[in-house]
Amino acid sequence: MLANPIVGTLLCLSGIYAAALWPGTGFAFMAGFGMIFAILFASEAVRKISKYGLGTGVPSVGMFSIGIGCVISLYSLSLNSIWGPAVCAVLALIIGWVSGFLINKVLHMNIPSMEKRMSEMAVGSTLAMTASAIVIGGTLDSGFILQNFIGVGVAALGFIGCSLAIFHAFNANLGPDEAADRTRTLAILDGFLVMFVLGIVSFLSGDVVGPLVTIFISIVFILLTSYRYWTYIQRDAWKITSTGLLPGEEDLN
Amino acid sequence: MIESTIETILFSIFGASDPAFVFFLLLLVTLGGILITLSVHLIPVGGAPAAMAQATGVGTGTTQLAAGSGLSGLLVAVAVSVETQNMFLGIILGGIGAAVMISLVMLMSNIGYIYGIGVPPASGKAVRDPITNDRQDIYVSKGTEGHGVPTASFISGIFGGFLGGAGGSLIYEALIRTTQVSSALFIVLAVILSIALFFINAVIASYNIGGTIEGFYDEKFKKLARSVVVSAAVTFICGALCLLTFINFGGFI
Repeated sequence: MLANPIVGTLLCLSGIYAAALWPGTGFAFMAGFGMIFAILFASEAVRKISKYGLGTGVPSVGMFSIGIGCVISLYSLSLNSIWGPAVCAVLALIIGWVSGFLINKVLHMNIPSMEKRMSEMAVGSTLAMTASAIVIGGTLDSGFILQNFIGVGVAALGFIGCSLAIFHAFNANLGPDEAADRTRTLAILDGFLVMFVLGIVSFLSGDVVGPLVTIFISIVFILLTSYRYWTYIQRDAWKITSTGLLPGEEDLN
Repeated sequence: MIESTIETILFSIFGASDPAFVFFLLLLVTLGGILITLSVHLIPVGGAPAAMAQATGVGTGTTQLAAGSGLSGLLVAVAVSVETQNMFLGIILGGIGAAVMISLVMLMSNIGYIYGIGVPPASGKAVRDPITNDRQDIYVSKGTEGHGVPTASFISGIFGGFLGGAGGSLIYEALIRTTQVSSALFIVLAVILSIALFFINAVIASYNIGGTIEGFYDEKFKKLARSVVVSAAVTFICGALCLLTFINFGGFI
């Protein structure tokens, strides 16, 4: 149910607003949870569209969605308004649908539900990138974001981190034995890894409490999700064997 | 009367900047997006089959190849533009930087194909090379669609790299001229937005060619017009948001 786009959007927006409206940076990690909900439903859309066989690999669709997401999220962050994240979700829905329609009809991709999945991916990556900006300082103030998210280059980290988290899950698990719960668990694990790195770089803004809370929570969830992912791998694999070390030079002679 | 109303609306959207100038910059951004689309059609990309020497071109995805060359071109363009403040020098040197990068990639992959795998560079789509007029079909291994990067593809790739780098640099130069304020923060913002627009256009072109292309003599090159339409439409929408982002952030310096 958490992978549903509407539920995911609402949960992500509530995470962003909880982090942004709470005074101080102690609640900034809530935006990190919002980012993970957005990544979860965007990677679910990648999973559904990539099964048709795009011919260009799974990463291409992730890079397209984060390209749109980066443009819209930076626009919404520049508004310096409390309505920024909500406006950017609506804009991403429209632009994602239009680009999906153009790609499907003008380029003759002829993939059913292309428009729907493109708009889901655009909304997911836009909200993920917006949330990654809020994790840094727990505020929607454009001046702060320009200095501490864009100016120091953390926006590039949010860009590539969110895109990796969105397309990596399906790219790593694709194949005839692909299981939805395993793919989703990997997407969540990738999201927490991005949140951990964002927690480290948010020390750059001069704050201590917010980053420490973010890092502590992300480490706890990285351990829990890795364990869950490992149990899914053991469930789905026919056999797990150790290959041993590479043979040394004297063993070969 | 109507003209003054439109002007008021444009001023309210674009702020203090001259609306006609901002619209001209938007057209430049769109032109840059079209150049990137054209560049992807010219670069020889083989995808996963080429990585196993079963198709002509460099063995990686379109997005990665175009991004690799275009981003190195963007790096040159930003360095030159910061040093000299000259728009045309930045664009041309950015194109040359990208062309050098893509030439090195094609040269190194050719060395790998010839001396590592042991196959001669040969095109699977053309019977004779369009530039050197050499026979190609007798050198193509059975069961493959050519291998390596033959002369015509190589020269096509150099032009593709130049156009891609010039397109990315054109987007950067247009964005950085939106505001009169000169600040290092705006350089970072312009670079991130041009990377986002670069990925959007590279993926649109890559969907049009279905992941693989040999160069200007390939049949798929004739489908260029469709890709230009989609790329112009999507870049126009996203470019408008990029310019608005710049104008909005201009108030926070």
